[in-house]
Amino acid sequence: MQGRSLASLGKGLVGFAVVVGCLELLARAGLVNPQLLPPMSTVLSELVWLPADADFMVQLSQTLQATLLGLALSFVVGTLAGVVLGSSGAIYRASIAFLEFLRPMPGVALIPVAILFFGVGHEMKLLLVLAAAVWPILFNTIYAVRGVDPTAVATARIFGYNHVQIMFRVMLPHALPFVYAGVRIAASIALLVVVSAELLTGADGLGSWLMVVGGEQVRTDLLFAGLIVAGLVGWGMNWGLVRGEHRLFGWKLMIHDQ
Amino acid sequence: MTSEVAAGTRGQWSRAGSASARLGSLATRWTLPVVVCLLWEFAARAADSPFVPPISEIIVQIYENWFSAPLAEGVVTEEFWRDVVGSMRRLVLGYLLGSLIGIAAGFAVGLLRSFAQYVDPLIHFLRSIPMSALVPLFVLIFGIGDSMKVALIATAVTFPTLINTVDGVRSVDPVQLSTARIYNVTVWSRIFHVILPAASPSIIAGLRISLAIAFVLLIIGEMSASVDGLGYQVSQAQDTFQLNDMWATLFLIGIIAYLFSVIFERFEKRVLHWYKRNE
Repeated sequence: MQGRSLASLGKGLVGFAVVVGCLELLARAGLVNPQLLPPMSTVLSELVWLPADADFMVQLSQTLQATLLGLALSFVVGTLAGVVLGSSGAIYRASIAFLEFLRPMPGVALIPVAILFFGVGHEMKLLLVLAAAVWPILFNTIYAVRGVDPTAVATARIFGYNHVQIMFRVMLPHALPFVYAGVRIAASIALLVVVSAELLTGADGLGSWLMVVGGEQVRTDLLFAGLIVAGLVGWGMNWGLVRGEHRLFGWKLMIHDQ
Repeated sequence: MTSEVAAGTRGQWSRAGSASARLGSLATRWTLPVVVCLLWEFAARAADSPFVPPISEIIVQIYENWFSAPLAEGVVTEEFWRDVVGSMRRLVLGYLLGSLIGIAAGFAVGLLRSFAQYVDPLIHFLRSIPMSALVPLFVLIFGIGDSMKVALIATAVTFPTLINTVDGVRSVDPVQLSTARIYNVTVWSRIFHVILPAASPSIIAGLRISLAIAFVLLIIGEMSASVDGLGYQVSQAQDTFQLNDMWATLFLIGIIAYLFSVIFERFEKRVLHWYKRNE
């Protein structure tokens, strides 16, 4: 197993190297407008120096803060509402149609509304992340709670737990692994919404940095470097969440293997 | 548990086609929206804030903006053709383009195992880029016309479709494939009649995710670099403080997004009915 994963890692790096090499050749050969496609070597050298750019790091931290905080907020709202909606058949039937109507609405369309209420800034981004990223968490929680083993619930009831206690001590823990899958989806939605909001409103963050670098300064080398950073952020978040999943729910995966 | 049992017995009655049961479920589904609308109406009138007009005014605005042309001219207004149909055209073009590329590339990556190992990490990295970050680059490449929006949507749609197609292709039962090979089924026939059906649940899941993503990028593209379209109208209306317009366009976007997802669900049920039944 170890050998195979090292080999595939190596092949992945080769893949990257080949693509970067091709882009480099393409740029150097003068086949493409150098303003649109700068040589990858220039991009990579800019990329390496970005962490030293204080302004960039401030913008990046703004994006990260908004994304993670928004995700946490969506998690709290999504799981709480999901547990309530999933545990009561009546509440579920009354609300599910309306929620499924609201769900497809693209969260970014609400940017003008968010600006009206909060102006351009941190709270605006949080509201938008909530409006967009809560849905996968909410729906995963609802379905997971509805699918909870009825024996577990009945047992808890026999032991005298009231409904609220059952919700949080039986249903929620049982539902968490599936909820977590929703959190992973919500994380990429959160990042997308935050960057979009920054792009469109000029709020501090990676999105507005990209707008300035690409739109005003037309420094495509910095632009590509910023895109790579954005990709690393998204990839890093997902990697972190997958690691967390193994830590938290490794027991569940092992049980299922048996 | 008692509620489930009770629901089961009630279910027998609705299977018999009881009108009251159907009416009952209709009532349950519509109570919440109606209550929300009424609350909105009264709260908005009470607060009298310019930011949030009452729902009745919003509905009137929807009618005035897009459905107020005389019957002879086809009921829908010019703005409808310009904005609604314009947006939909970009969405559909981008979605179809991205889906085709995603599925085709997904088959290639899924079937060619050795090639896939070189390309997988690259695909997963590219997929992690928040697609709206591409807007400044795409504006430089494509300008602010339709092609920019279509390219943006297509790019964003390609990745989830590709990854899900790869998953689906890789999940094909190897025994089925070997059997087809032994019977000398040609490569193309194997692809269309063995692999494609087996991979279709995964592919369709990818297409579903991509549809939502397509809407998001459509709005982003239209808000950042456009002269018409639904996204542009929302942004413009907020800028010029025509808030009834803004809310009306928002509602319309929500309704259209919902309609698309309903249509997609019907399509999904039709295509996958054999899969669900076997499972």
